[in-house]
Amino acid sequence: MIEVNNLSKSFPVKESFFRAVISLRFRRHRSIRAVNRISFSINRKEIFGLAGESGCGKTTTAMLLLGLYKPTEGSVSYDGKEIGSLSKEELVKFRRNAQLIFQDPYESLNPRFSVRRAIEEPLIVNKIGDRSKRKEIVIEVMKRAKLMPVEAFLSKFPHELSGGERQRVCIARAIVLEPTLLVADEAVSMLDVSIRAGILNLLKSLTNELKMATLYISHDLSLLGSICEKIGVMYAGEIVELGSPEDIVMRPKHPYTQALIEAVPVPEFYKRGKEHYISIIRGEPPDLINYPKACSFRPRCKYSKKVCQMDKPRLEEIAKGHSVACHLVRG
Amino acid sequence: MDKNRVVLKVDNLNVTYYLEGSSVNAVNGISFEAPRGTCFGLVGESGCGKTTVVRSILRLLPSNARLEKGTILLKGEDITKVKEQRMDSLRWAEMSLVTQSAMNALNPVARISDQLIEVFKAHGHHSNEKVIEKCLATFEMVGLNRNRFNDYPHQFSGGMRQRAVIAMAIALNPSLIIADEPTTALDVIMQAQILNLLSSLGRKQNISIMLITHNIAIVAEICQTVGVMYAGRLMEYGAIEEVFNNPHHPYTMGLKEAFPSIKFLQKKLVSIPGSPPLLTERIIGCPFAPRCPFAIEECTYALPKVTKIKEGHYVACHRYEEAWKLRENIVDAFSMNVWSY
Repeated sequence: MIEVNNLSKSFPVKESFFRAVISLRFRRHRSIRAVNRISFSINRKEIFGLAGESGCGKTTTAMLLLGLYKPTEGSVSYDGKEIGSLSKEELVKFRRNAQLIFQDPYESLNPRFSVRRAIEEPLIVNKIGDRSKRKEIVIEVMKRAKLMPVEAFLSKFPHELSGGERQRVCIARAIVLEPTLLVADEAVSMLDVSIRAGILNLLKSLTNELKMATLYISHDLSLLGSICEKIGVMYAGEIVELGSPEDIVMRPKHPYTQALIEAVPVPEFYKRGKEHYISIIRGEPPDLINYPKACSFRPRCKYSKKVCQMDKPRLEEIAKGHSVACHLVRG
Repeated sequence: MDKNRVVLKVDNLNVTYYLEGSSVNAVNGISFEAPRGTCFGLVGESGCGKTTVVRSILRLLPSNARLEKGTILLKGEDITKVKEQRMDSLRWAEMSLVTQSAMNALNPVARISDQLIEVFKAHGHHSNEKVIEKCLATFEMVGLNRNRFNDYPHQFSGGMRQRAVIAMAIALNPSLIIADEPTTALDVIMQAQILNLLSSLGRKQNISIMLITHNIAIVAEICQTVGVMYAGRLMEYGAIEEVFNNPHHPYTMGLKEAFPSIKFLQKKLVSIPGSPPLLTERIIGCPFAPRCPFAIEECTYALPKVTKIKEGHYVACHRYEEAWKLRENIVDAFSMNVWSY
């Protein structure tokens, strides 16, 4: 459904004129490589999880998928058509079909719009139906998003709602146009734990009911593991491991994926020694301006060998549906 | 009470916010203690009064809040009764705070070095080489590079800023660090690094840490004792292994089941239906009763007493005697909202 092929995005870094004069570097344009040659696909009725640290390019990927950034290289195709080549009318249609849920439900709702108006807005913008028809659609969607009883919520304003209810309004607003692509950027990280499962549950069942392709972005692999069909692990703008949740969580091959999994705290008590440490990797991700030529994870990797300094590892399939980009892993 | 063993002891704390025409009972009869060199975790959802507890300990409550009852003993001294001046000398020197958003805790237009030295100046030290050397040593202790000492906060990443705030918090060798959601804004790897830093500092410097969080998994990783708060009350309190392996309150059980576990992908996640009660209204009975799948009639009119189950393990639930039975049914009981993979 959504096909991402060799996608890259870099942003130019502007240098101040003064600095340029001093260093006599007028011509050399520097850029940040936020996303670097990634490929994956999302089918309908499927949740694809994108995991990684802050600043690894997850959100840039989402923006590229929604056609909000133009790719520097590579392509995103949607039902076989490349987004970059769409005509103006086609692009409008595409925008209708691609919707986004934000992380913070406290800031992504207009405080002066009632629930009804917030959910109705996409319909008004797209000139769908008349007033009474739109109300019908809004009520239908609210039932879908489990905002019940509908009558009680219709005329409420965001400040009267709890975090979970607000996120449900955001979800209702995103699905009111019956999109085929839904991007959820950390959709539950601001919510209380006791209601998270409910929201995730809703996303999962809506993906199935509406036959959407969903991209879920998070840094928490335990969460992705429990809702996704496929997971891609990103590091410094590249996908370093791709596979099913079982592959990624139970049989992680890339040292970075292993580190990510070890860093996730477990809600169980187990016997621990006096010197209990959560095993972790040190340091921080590389500077994306002075991009390392070889393996981008090498400086933090405890297994790094000579070959890791020379060559960039490619994403290779080691088992069916499970690919890893690491020199030390061979199928 | 052995004042060398227990750094902080809070007893029957009650805090009320007075609003126009109404009042909010934000904290209601909370008692706990934080022994030296260990980590105490306070878990609860947003709005359950965690931050109010922190603010009353540091005496930073807003002007419309009143500490109605209760004592807070810091190394045996009741700090609810001391003068403001004494409080000033205690803050940072004896107890310090690590906040959630490190960017807001640091002054964006001042160098990290100046902000760290400021801590010493505020407590009567003069800015001299000895102080600067001490600052640098603290800086390295939290895992920051000496060369970055003169940087501004914006030059630091989120994790480094949090480290800088922790450096300030330990600068004067306090006995207690209160960490209020210290890792919420960070990703998992930074979170693990910061948690390791806090727990190792606690052990090495013999500091007590009070960790406030909504994430029960973090508590499981680094705390020795835990208190579960709901609607301004402690629902369950005890040693970590007791509360996790032997939870007696349905809320604790639900919280535990609501978290995905990386070790068991097939684990069914539950969602506790409804939302916490409004504290502006008078709550009769158990505050958790409306959301509790095991609520019986008694729960709706009588407030459950805090009961001792074992040495150091307390619970406030009418049905604590049947806890083993409730535990078996917890996933099914929340079945309306069960989430299966």
